[in-house]
Amino acid sequence: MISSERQERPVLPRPDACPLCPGVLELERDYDLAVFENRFPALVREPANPSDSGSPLLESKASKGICEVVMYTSIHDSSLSRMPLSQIEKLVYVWADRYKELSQYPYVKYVFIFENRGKEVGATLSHPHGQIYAFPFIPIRMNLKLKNMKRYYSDKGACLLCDIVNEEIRLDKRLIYCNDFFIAMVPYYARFPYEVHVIPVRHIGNVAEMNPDEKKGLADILKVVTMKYDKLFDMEFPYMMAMFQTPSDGKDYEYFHFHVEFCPPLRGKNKIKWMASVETETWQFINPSTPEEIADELKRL
Amino acid sequence: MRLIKVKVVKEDGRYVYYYEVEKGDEDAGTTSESNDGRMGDDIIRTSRKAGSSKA
Repeated sequence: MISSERQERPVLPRPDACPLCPGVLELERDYDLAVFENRFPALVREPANPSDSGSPLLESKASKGICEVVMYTSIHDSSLSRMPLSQIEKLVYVWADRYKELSQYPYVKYVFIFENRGKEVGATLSHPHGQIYAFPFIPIRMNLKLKNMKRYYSDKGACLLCDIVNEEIRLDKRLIYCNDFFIAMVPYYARFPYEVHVIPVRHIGNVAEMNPDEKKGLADILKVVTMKYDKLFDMEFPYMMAMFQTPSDGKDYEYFHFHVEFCPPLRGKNKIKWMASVETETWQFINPSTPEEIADELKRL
Repeated sequence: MRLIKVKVVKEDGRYVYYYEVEKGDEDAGTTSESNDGRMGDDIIRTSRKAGSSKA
């Protein structure tokens, strides 16, 4: 996607000029939680037609979609790790509402909920917030997940992540925390050293399908995982958090299982795990740590 | 928990949704919980030892 307007975004303004604080720029009044359309969207509801590439070989489509910013709290100096559990629970309800509403637009095929925390992953504002991209197509990595989960479902007659959850609980080598509804683990297939996946025990496709206890369980485990991260190096631990949910294109995704991925860019305090040539150009990740070692480290925090 | 949302349309056409807990449904309110980064009792009560669950 090409979105040259995003070059104009403000970068880490002073706290007293934060555009996400109440009454400064984006939110005209005090708020508990809020959602607004991104001022610098990569996808817009009424896009202009793309310019002619000059060649039938070079195809393009209008970037029709919606980009939202999700305000977790009006408190500037906060985070998932520091917010009260009840505030995170409310956030889960907001995510569910956004997923349901955005999925109703006929041009929206995939609702992607995510958070970039820290300048190491390109966050330009430190006020606690996440984002939502309502895509007009299913992104390529999500398509790969769907393809593999569908193949497993066809071959085994079971859900891949349901089976992984059961095996990880049985083995107890990579779990870092569990509650009655979710597990958090360093996956066997971790790409980043401190990668953590949060997976519901019940077969759920998206956040809107969660019952109230599961929503509270998700809030609980997100708080615990981010608290462990912050405690790890006694710092505000940077991460990319992404939710993977059933697409919104009206098709049947019975085989798909909701999950959240945390991908931190650090391999140690002040040490970056770079997306270098091998990772970027071949999509083959070289992880310098074993998932079991990292799981043990995070579990003990 | 039930949230209510109020929609406001800005001058530039962008929307804002303000969310808050519906009146009379504040039992999950924030007043009794710590916000100091410590793990609260409510978390400890819902947690269990990793590996002790049955999926």
